[in-house]
Amino acid sequence: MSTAKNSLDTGLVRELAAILRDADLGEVEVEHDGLRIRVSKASPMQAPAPVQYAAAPAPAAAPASPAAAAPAPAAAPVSANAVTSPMVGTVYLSPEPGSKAFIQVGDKVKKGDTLMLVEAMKTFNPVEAPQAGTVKEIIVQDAQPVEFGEPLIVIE
Amino acid sequence: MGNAGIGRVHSVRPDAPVLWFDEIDSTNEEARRRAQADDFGPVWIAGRKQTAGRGRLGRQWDSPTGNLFVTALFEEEGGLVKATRYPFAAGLAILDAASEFIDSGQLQVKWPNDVRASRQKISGILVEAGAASGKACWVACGMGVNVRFAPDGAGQAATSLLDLGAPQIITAEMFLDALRPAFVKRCAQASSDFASLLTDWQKYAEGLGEEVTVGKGADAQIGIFKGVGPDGALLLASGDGTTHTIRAGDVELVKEIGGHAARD
Repeated sequence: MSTAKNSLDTGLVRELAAILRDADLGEVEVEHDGLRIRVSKASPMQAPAPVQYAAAPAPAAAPASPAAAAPAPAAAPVSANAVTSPMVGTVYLSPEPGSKAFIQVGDKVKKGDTLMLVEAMKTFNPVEAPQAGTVKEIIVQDAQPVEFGEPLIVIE
Repeated sequence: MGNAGIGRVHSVRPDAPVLWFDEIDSTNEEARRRAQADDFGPVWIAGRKQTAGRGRLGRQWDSPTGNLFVTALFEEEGGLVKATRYPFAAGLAILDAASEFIDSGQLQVKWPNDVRASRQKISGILVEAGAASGKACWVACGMGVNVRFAPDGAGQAATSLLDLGAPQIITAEMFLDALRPAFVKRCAQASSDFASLLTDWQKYAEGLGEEVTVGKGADAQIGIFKGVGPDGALLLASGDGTTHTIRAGDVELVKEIGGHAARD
């Protein structure tokens, strides 16, 4: 990563952190020149695990460090339309082992359709389609552990 | 309350209406239908008989008349992170309610929430949650309790409160009357002081400090059950000195299933 890019990122992160603090927001995300940066506080939807998915550059308290901006490029290959995991847990692509998956690549889905399940501590959360569209990519494998905010599926 | 302006959140209450169905497919299904129609309760949905009772990942839950099948449907303003606390609250609430009918000294909780006596299952819990208004989520906490019968075929040995010495007159209704205040109390504790709830939970934890397996087949992990993390995740110490944090999977005691079988 170039120095110019670094200073740009750091400045942006600092600005976003200020907006986050001043407006008392949970999360701010911007896309600029092919670079996507998200700054978030600990979200109420997030399990209190210390681990965070790399795409969510966490503590807004570390904006001065260039490392805070480093995860942004990792987010680049993942579509901005990706549906992300609502919590830390294990993802399931079908309602029960061995049964048909909720969706396949190419399927058309309606808003609110169940796409997959995420389980943590035996609490099951259906991941629902945020909008109607076509399943472009299923990023995760069945029974894979996922982090909060980790991209699961792309719907376009 | 910190939710001024967000709107009233429909928290669980012991005096929330109790809807008894003589026959129902599944109390959790009914809760889900209601939640999808933006009806988040609070309500207790109880069935005298379930025709399609289910457990984790679609497993069948035998539901003969005489046992209790109930789902508490309510809203949680803390979102999913708090919803994952309810399996622990529910397990302890069932244990609290059961202790009004039988000697609680014989009861244990298998991670995260199966109440058992002598390794035999008394209850099963299935919590489902989804997005509600704002940051809140709806929670359907389904609880099946073997009040009078110990069904076969539940995948593990079962027993009932009657078998464990409960009075002959015990009914599902009587157990629900004991369960409702116990559940609300444990939910309040889970919400305000989850660490203390986990401390209580660990007093009853089955297999603590012992060798357990988590998961099945090739993916099974084996190790010592060291305790639970701040979010209730199971901490499994493996032979190489690493500690794994487990948030999903069936837990079995190695001495129960046989050490060689577990390692194969």
